[in-house]
Amino acid sequence: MAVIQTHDLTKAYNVRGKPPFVALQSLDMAVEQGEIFGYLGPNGAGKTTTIRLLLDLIRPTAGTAQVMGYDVNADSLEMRRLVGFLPGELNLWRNLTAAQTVDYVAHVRGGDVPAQKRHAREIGERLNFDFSKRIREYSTGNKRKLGLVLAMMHKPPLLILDEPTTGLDPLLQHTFNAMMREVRDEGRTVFLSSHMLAEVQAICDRVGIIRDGDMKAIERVDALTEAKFHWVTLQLREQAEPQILDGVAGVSDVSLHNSHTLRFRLTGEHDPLLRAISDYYVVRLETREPSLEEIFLTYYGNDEPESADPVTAEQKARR
Amino acid sequence: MGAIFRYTLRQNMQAIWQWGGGLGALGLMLMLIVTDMDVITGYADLLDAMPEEMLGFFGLSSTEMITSPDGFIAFGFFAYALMILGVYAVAVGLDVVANEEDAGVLDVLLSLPVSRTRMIVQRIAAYVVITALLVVFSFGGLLVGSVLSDMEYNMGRLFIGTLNIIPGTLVMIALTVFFSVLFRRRKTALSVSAAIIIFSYFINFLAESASNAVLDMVNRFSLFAYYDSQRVVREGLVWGDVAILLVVAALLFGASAWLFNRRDVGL
Repeated sequence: MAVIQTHDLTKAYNVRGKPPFVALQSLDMAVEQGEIFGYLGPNGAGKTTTIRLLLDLIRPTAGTAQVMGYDVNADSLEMRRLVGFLPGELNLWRNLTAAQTVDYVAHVRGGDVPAQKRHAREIGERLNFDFSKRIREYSTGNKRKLGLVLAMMHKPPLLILDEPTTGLDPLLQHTFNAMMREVRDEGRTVFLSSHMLAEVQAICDRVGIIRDGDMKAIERVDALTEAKFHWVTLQLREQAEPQILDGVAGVSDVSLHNSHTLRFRLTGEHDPLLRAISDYYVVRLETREPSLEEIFLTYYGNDEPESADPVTAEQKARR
Repeated sequence: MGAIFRYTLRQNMQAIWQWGGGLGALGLMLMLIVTDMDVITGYADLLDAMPEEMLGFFGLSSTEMITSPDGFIAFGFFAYALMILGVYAVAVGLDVVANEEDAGVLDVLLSLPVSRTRMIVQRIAAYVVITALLVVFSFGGLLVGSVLSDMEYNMGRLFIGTLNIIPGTLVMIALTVFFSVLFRRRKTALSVSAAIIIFSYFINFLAESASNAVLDMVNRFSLFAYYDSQRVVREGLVWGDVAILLVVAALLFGASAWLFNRRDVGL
């Protein structure tokens, strides 16, 4: 059973004097139990909109979404019992201490309150977090730590985390990665949005890439990085001319590195390339797998990957 | 009641001391400055010299009522108490949904297994209790004043007058909750609610001052038309007025919950 299942999920916002702004377009997605699913996209791509739809904070214009087998709207309460959520922009009750916040959230959530508080302390210790201060006194990084504690303290089967490591230092990011792997090893599921490609590459099993509210691809991270294309460096004994690769199937972005060396992108099988250079003396032929960032850019053209200052689709719609 | 009710109550205990204490202090001050009947009759004479229309501004149809200690308190304290609590009501009304929605805190709260209806009902219930407590607490000021004053007050009637502040305050809270749910923006809800309350007050003032069929008709929609503090102090609770205000408050609270359940949360 898919832990998250969406079908034709669409969200459009009415903008005064303009056509509706479509923040999410016909999303079909399935996230399986026990995986870490990365959700990548630039600012305003629709990542936060998707997450807010999954949590029933906003309602879809069309389509359906199920989380843990529950319809996110009709069975919202049952669904939310099984989810831990960390918003991208975490705002909490400024006058409460972290300990009071944990206590409040545990009581509102219900169930075994002492167990939740005990687990919150354990997570806090791992993240080196001090529960004694008031929320308004914490740095962004410390607020993120508290957000993680609140999302994880009831050991939910599904974690939905929006930009979870923003503001965490590298050491804590390492701890976070370890915690996510533990969650996965326990058979629980993590759905995280991130603009940190290295993070996604390091911990995610699969990744969905979204742009302008449209899911461009859902792939296994290893398949995404190994299969789509390669960077090739070709060194010849004679003078290298880019024209020798004209019309070769799968070859693109040819550039002259130096007088004897060409660099280019090769998509698909290698045979057409090998046939095309069979008349030349090949000194060196190297292939390199693209980084996830390069793959990311192939989906987005020249757009920059997401910055640390997220703009939600809703905010975009309001502009 | 649930965790949200208890949390809201705990977080707003100060309001009981601050608003209730402030209101009580106003009543106490009035009782202390009125040392004998001469002060009251002097004040009534002063008002008598004013044009009849001006009496409406002070919530009076004639000065006869204020020539008794209880009437003077009804005029000097209860007539303004509801308007003063209008400020409290708008602040509290914004606290039910708008403040947390504007600050983004509601995303965290509503990601927990609590329904929107339950959240809003628990908060409203907490503020009903807080409002009742602070109004009753303010009566303490009148009680102390009556002990310190040489004048004879009917404290039973004054207590009923104090309780009579509650329904009108609840209507103003409900109005602000409704507009904050409707508009989704804190500032808009604040402006519209405050404007309606002030408009409502002046419509009532104009209708009391001048006999006019249109004004009388519009005045039916003013919440202040159902808050006759002098009559309450003189005759006891006007149950019809109380019922109308409570029904309006309940309808507005219900409409807010219904609307909040059907719309998007957050920006």
